[in-house]
Amino acid sequence: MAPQASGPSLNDQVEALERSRRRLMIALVITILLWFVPQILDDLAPAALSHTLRSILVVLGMVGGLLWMGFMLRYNRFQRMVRNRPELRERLDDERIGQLRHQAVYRGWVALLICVAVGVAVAPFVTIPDQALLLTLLLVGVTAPIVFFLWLDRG
Amino acid sequence: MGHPELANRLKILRAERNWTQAELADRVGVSRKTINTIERGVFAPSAVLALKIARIFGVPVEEVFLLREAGDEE
Repeated sequence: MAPQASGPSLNDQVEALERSRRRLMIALVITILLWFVPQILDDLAPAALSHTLRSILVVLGMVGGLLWMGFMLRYNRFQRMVRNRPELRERLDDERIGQLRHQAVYRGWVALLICVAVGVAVAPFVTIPDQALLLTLLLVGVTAPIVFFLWLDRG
Repeated sequence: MGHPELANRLKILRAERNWTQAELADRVGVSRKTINTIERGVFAPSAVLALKIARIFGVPVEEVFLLREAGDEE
């Protein structure tokens, strides 16, 4: 229970891990945007894009997808490492973080509902390709809770 | 009448013992940021965590956390 006498304290380790987790989450959001947004643009207006621009978007999407998978692997490794250190997990995933996760998931779900509602509202006036709609909903469903968590835990 | 707010004397109790937020966090088993947000009134701890903090200080929970009517100053 008492603070450690020497070496990096548990709190220093926890704060370093908190920063790593935050950086990984930001990287996951950026890379999934890089992966999905070019595909959505391509689905929304394929005729408006030149062949060169479409090729660039395809490459960007592939790079984004590969980077996202890499960061996802790192995130899973991070979670496994934390799971194996109960004294760190207790502090890293404490009560406040649990509460922030619930709030972030709830707000993410509301954001997803708003997107669906907007889609339904504009559907009679605008033709949205199914693929673009599904990708957008998937993107919002994945990124919104992460972004809300990062925002709620901003300091 | 407004809703009462959860106020706390964490900062005072810490100062009396010369503990930093990090030291208190180590003793309680949470992150320093959690102690900081409790102290600033941003995060309201559960009854379990509040009791744990009071036990660490060796005082009754009402000496650490108190309900304050909106607009009241301590």
